[in-house]
Amino acid sequence: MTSDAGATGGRVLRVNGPLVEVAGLAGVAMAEVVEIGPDRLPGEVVRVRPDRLTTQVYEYTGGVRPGDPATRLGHPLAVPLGPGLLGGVFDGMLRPLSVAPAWLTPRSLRIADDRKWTFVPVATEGMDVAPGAVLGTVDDAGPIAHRVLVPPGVSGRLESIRSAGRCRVDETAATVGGVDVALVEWWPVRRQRPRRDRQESAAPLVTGQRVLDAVFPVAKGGAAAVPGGFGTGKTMLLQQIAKWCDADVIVYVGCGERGNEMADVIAELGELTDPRTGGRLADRTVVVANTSNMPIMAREASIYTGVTVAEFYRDMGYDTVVIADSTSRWAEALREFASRDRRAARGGGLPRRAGLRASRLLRACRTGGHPGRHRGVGHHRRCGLPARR
Amino acid sequence: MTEPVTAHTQRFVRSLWTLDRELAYARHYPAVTWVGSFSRDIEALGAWHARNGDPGWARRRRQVVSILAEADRLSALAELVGVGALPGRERMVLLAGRLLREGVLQQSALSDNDAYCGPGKAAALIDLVLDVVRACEERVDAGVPAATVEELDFSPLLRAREDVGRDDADGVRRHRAAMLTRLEELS
Repeated sequence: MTSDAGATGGRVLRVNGPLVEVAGLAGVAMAEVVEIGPDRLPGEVVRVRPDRLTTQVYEYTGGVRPGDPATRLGHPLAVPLGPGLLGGVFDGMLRPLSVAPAWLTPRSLRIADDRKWTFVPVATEGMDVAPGAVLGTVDDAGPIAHRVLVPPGVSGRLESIRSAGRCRVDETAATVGGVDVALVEWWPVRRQRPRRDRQESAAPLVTGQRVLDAVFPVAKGGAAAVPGGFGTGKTMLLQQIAKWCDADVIVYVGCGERGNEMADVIAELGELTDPRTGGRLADRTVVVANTSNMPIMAREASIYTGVTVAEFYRDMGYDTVVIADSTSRWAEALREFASRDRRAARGGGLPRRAGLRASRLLRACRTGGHPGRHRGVGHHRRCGLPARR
Repeated sequence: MTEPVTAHTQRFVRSLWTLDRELAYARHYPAVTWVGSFSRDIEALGAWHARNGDPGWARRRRQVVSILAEADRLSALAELVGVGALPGRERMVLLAGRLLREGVLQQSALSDNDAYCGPGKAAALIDLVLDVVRACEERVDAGVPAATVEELDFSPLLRAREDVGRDDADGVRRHRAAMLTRLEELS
């Protein structure tokens, strides 16, 4: 996913919190990742002008100074999707927090994943396969079978497939139409994963909460918002849904919550027995945590990351619920950046496009079956929103 | 609700579950208010329930929503004129609202039996309340003073959600006969 055009020569012009301006990089695209300073902090391009780029940096920018080098990576912000997500706790860029030493170091994005998984082929060589077709399964990646699919945009004859055995996520599992398919797939978080069709309100999502199931139901594939003031039980309600709803995979995005709140959620998920499998509920949950003390721009990306993870499991044929708690604190990240970028504020000090981006995110969340999947599945998203009146 | 993220979110979601400060303050959890919440998929999901073995789902929901709205209206009125000034039938609506709120809508996340409620048990609980309310109305129509009906011990009905298992619809139905017999004995 790299390109070598204009790889060097960039330098930092101005630093203002998470906003860093860079000059000297030609031909950089919007949303491309630029690495900044000697620690190679990842920054996403949010504005391109003839003489300079504006980037939002996903790490603490203390110590970055004008004149520091900046390097373009040639691809947008992408996350690795593969076995090992279930049961894990990740930051907004899907770097594992559960195995991080004390704190994420700036370079941890590039730490190699050495874990090995047991790949079992399902497809046979010589078949014609389309995106979404099952190539094989990984059985030791949690209580639900992890399916290795032909990724979007790849199709053709299955030229070779790995025989059953242990392999690392970045090793080639199969070759389809001349393209090597690994267990892990890098996917740009801001791009919606393609789907075949969208199913309208197929069936209700059973939450086990009477007031929801019997009075204000939500359909699989639908989205619901939970506005409420301080102390009205938003987080409690969202946790109840996470525990009891009839989805296969739960993606819990803690977005700007306090660290202790997030720790409570994780501890509680760890203790709960899954009413369906008898194992731990945490084992079919992916937690994306971006607490209020973590770099604010990664919080902005974390919801997109959560939705991307959910789409990945949807493509495998699983019902997935995304819970984002809360989108108001997500909007705070937008506000923080807009004010540093000297953009005019609208209601609540939020930038003009904040509402628009929220609605685009919600529409992105409502989805149907993936190309090639026989089972139409929806995936779900909820957001906790403190009321602002 | 004027803040842009909230406003846009409301436009694009299929369901809105508004949590109400007053309900939360009154320990009514989950504090989802029936006044400011909505679901845009009622018809489609009603049809789904009808196809999947619960043809009464849509009717039951309609009755619950209308009782709650009517009870809210009457309780505002009762605050002005006093409950005693309301006719017996209307006092039964107020009672119905209370039974629905406490016996159905409230749910304890800390109770083993009540943290999760299967669809069958939820339907049985609502039917239980609706049946009991209908019997109460009949008693009032038959000349029993509204106050006498209101003083009846409804606790078996209110406790049913915690007393029977998560998916035990039959367990809820067993409470029905006991409650109806007690009502019959009123005179």
